[in-house]
Amino acid sequence: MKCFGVLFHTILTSVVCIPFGLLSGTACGADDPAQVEKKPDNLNLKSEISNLKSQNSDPKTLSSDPKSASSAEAAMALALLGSLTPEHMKQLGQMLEQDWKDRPEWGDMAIAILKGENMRLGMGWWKPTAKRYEWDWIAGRFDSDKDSKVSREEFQSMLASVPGRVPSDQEKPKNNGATDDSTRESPPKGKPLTYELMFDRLDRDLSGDLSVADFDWSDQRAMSPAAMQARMTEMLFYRLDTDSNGRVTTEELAEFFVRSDREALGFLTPEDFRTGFDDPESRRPAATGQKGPSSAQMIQMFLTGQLGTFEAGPGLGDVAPDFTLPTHDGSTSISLSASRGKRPVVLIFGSFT
Amino acid sequence: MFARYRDQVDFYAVYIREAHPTDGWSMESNDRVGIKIEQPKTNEQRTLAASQCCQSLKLSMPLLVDAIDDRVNRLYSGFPDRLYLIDRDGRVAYKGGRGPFGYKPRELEQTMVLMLLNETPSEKTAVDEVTKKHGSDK
Repeated sequence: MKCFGVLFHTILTSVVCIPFGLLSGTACGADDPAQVEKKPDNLNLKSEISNLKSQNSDPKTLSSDPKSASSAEAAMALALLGSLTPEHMKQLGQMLEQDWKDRPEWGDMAIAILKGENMRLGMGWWKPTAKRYEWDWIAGRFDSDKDSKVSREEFQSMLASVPGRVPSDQEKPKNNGATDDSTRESPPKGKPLTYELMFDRLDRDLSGDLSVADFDWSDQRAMSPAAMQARMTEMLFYRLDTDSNGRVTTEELAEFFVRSDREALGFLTPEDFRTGFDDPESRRPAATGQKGPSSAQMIQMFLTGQLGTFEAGPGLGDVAPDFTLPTHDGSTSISLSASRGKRPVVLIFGSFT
Repeated sequence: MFARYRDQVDFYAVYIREAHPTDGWSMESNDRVGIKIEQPKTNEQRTLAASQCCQSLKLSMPLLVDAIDDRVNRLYSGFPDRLYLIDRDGRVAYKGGRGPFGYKPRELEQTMVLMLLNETPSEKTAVDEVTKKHGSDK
């Protein structure tokens, strides 16, 4: 039923005009989320409603909405949302979920928020990864004995039968990249990527076989002992990587050594290791009453774009839309299309904060 | 990962809106390490933030700065962070989930390894041949 979508949209478009902070404090981690639910009665709705018009021009609003709500509708929706209890929100969420079938991705998110779901992978628009090579493909390609596992031998023999660019391990060249003829400016260049190394990159839990678990990143599967071990080792890595750039350098290792060798003996004992890796932060009791943001706060963050963009981005198999952007040092501009037909591209979106 | 694959794959970091600016959803973990950035309002401000980021994290891959109207962010739904792998034909081969929960570089690396194995242009047809043969004798 379309009317739900329309009603809902009305609510959304009006709520987005509420100035930040009206629904209590600033977003996530505000002091007392519980307060929010009680507050609506105290809101000065009249003055807020009279503000609505002027704030409709806020660039953060859902500008894609062609029929922006009339102020009467908006006022109604605002009053409605102000008086919604968590139970009402949940109910509205369930109704929308049932009757708003062909909804966009942001609709999933709105429903999840109304239903009061916790933020995690799989909630709302936090969809799982979409990728070209799922386990079925991998098994079909490499699992020659059909035992639902791909051993190192299976992997290598399947690949060895194909003439490829990747050197097999036997013929691993002796020139460890030292005399590389590539003219591309190349910083530290490690050993060439062999099948052996490639297998290691695929074998997520280091079990020695590739299995469906290695390619399941949904966070739903219980971790194997090997995977838990791997996770712990990773955490030690992050403690060593003091500038958090994903690379541990000899300097950082030396720094760790000096820091841990508290008696300056010139060597480390197991005890030194333990204290060196100790993180006082991890033992700090969680701040009291931190329940995470309330539904009302979540809606606020959702509508102001703090949880993600309303656009969904290109899907798996779609042509990636072209763009041209300058580099940070202004030295050049790069177009995605420049790589087309030549090399694959990895795009990493993010910010410093 | 960049160092490992840069000979075969183009890597671009795209600097988009701040996820946790001081004037928005601020984060204690940022304060602790002294990262304090207001949401940029001009291209220049964003470029400055990107440069700080690049310097501080010693990034070596090309860092592109999204325009202040967030056009590439919107095009790709990149906020707050997200990963894509695009094949030689310009099609999406890996679309990571929205960050922070969907941000899984190691998962992308798996797809990239398989892609390099399977889609090296010179051997592509050979691989297809083998796959076909393999598929038919089951």
